[in-house]
Formats: sequence, structure tokens, C-alpha cells
Amino acid sequence: MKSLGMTTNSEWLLRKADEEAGCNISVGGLVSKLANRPATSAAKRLAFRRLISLRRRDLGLSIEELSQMSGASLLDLIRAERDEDFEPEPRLVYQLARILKLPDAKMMQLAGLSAANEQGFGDIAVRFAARSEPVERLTPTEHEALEEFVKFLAE
Amino acid sequence: MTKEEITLVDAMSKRPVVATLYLELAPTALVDTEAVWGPARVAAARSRAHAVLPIPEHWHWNWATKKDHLRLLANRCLGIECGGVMQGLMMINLARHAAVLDSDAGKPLVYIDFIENAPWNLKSLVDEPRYFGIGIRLFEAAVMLSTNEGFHGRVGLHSLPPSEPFYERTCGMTKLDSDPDKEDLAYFELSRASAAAFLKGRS
Amino acid sequence: MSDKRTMTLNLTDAEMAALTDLAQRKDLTKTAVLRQALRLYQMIDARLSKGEKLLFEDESTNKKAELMVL
Repeated sequence: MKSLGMTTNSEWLLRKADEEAGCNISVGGLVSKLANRPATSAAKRLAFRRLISLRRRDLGLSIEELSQMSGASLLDLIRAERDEDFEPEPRLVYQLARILKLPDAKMMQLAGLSAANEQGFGDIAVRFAARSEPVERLTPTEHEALEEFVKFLAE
Repeated sequence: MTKEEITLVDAMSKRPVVATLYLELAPTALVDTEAVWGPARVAAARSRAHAVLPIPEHWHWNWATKKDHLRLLANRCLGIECGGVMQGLMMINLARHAAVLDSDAGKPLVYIDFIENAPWNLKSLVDEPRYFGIGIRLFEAAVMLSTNEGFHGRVGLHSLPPSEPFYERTCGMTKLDSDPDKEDLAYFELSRASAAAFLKGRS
Repeated sequence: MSDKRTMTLNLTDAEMAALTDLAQRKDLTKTAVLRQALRLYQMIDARLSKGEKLLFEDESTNKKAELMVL
């Protein structure tokens, strides 16, 4: 089996390792998960949780049915609706957007997986989150808030 | 599993030590490594809560969640093991990116998606790192892999800010603009010519 | 890096011309071009199978045109 051809020159290694010397070598785009989050993004994630919960119930779907339709695990779906520490994978967000008939790009922004382009997007998300409280059935206010927000996202 | 013997540097004695470079890790290896690194990161971060050096920006990574990437031919994970323990991991992609530097524009390269040193090798997490040279060895492996794939040593990556000096100075990459599609991280590229210089510099 | 197997490929003149052209432009051997094509095909197929869409974007006109959809 062909070897990769890594050098055996110790002097080169020592010199380069000395320059590197235990410092950071990190690459990759996970900074959005790591940097101090601004206050609005916690509200956006709350809006995301409320949105998928209300929309699911509005469509008359149980979490089990949603699990069957999306292929996502029950645990992931429960956590996506209720766990503020849960960070959904992009794939889950896309599947939810598809089944719940919501715009996928905006869903990604709400979930904190991509940056929002629009000014005021965060404010509107915060207002929706504040107006929507989880209850067994949707109240007319929740229903109206949901309709308005969905209409905004579709613009 | 394809592997070859290489050397790292023992941080205390500054002497070369024998290590193993794995060229194609299986998904289980990522899960096993995370099982060891995860708790070590948390423990190290807790003990450094009052330290002066900042905690590394990527420390939330979970390599176990990256194992599914390896279902695709285009993705490959390399690793360096020393003393029976994984010391570094690198996930690369062979097909998703093309070079942007003028001399090589549009030509394929090895793109480094993720790369990480074991937590006990980082000065920001421990007072006495165990091994040095993991970064440069993994980078060297990326350049050699690129050569072997016919990409003439071209490598690309988006660096987190604290790592920029390493990629620019130690690895000889060209720093390009911040990429708005990648959370404004700076894009770095090693051209064919720079790769040749890097490899020649090893002799 | 893993053990390799050999395959014989029959190509039309047009296919060979396209392969040669790509190899020249991408600075690759013909074999490397075909391996890249396989990687790309698998990558794209995996995402299309999940219900995603593959789009090209024209940044100058801000237009998106659908290329492939499952």
C-alpha cells in the first residue's frame, strides 16, 4: 500500500512544532455556536420552538406523526420544541420546514444556523415568542399571531 | 485501516516520539475519540476558568456527530495516535471546493472542514501540553493527500481568528478575504506553487 | 488509499473529448476527473434524497435557477 510520503526530517518537525507550540489550529464555521450570543438570538430560538410547536398543532399533527413523516427521532422533536439548549442540525430544520410548510431559509435563521439578512427580523421574532404561550389548544390570539408571523416569513 | 508511522514532538523533552497517522478513520473512531476528548475538554476548561488565555473557540465540537459525514466518498477523516491515544483529528472534503487564487482558480483542492488537537495538547487548556506538532503534521498530511489525489498539493480552509498566524506563517498559506458565507472567517489557500515550496522546505 | 480495483470504461468520442477537456482545465488526470465526478454525484444525490434542492445563483442578477430537484 502506497505511503503518503510524510517527512522523516526531525529538524524540520522540531522547528515547525516549535512555531505551532500548542497553539490553536481551529478551522471551520462553527463560530455562530461558540461566540457570545446577542440577546435577540435567544429570543429567536424561542420563537423557533414556539413556531414549530404551534404550527404542528395547528396542522393537527402529533409529535409521533411528525416523527414518522420526517424520520427524525421523537427525542429530537421533543427537544426541538421544548429544550432551550437543544441545537437542531440543519437537516432537522429543513425537514421540519418542509413538513410544516414554512420557508426553510428563514427557519434556519430562527434556529440560529444562519445569519439573518433583514433588519427587524429579530424584533418580530421576539414579539411572536412573547405573544405565544404553549397551551393544549391554540387560542384565537395564538392562531392569529401564528398566521401573522407565518405570513411575514413567507414574504 | 491505512496508516503510517510518523513522529511528533514530546512537549517536555522536545524530542521526537513515534506516532501513527491514520489516513482513513472509520466512523467508530470518531465516536471513541469524542468519548475521551469530551470529558477532558470539560475538565480542562473548568480548571482554567480563571486562566488568562482564552478558552478555544471550537471547544463545543462533538466529533461523534461528524461520523455520518464519512458516508460520502468526498469526506475523509485523518487522525494521529500517540501513546495509544488519539492526539489529533482532521476532516477533509475532496469535492466541494475549488481553488480561488488566480494561478489555480477553479481547480480542485483538499478542503479542511475541521481539525482539532486533543485538549491536553493545548496551552490554552493545560499548563503542560503533552505533544507538539499535531497541527503541522495534519497539515502536511493534507498537502500530501492533495498531491496523491492529483490536486498538486492545493489546500483550502476557513480559519478561526486565533489560528490565523499558524496557517499564514507556519504553513505558508495565502490569506484571502473574510467570507460572509462562512461567518466572516478568513479564507486561506495553499496554491500549487506554495505547496511545492512547503514540501521542498521539509528536506 | 484503500485497495483499488480496475475497471475498463467505454466512452464515445464526445465523452472522451469532454473528459480530456476537463482534465486539462482542472489540471487532473482523466482518472482523477472521473473520481471527482463520482464524489460529486454521490454528494449531490445524498442531499437531493433528503429533499434539498440544488440551485445555481447568478450574483449579478440575484436570480436563482433550479438545476435538479427530486
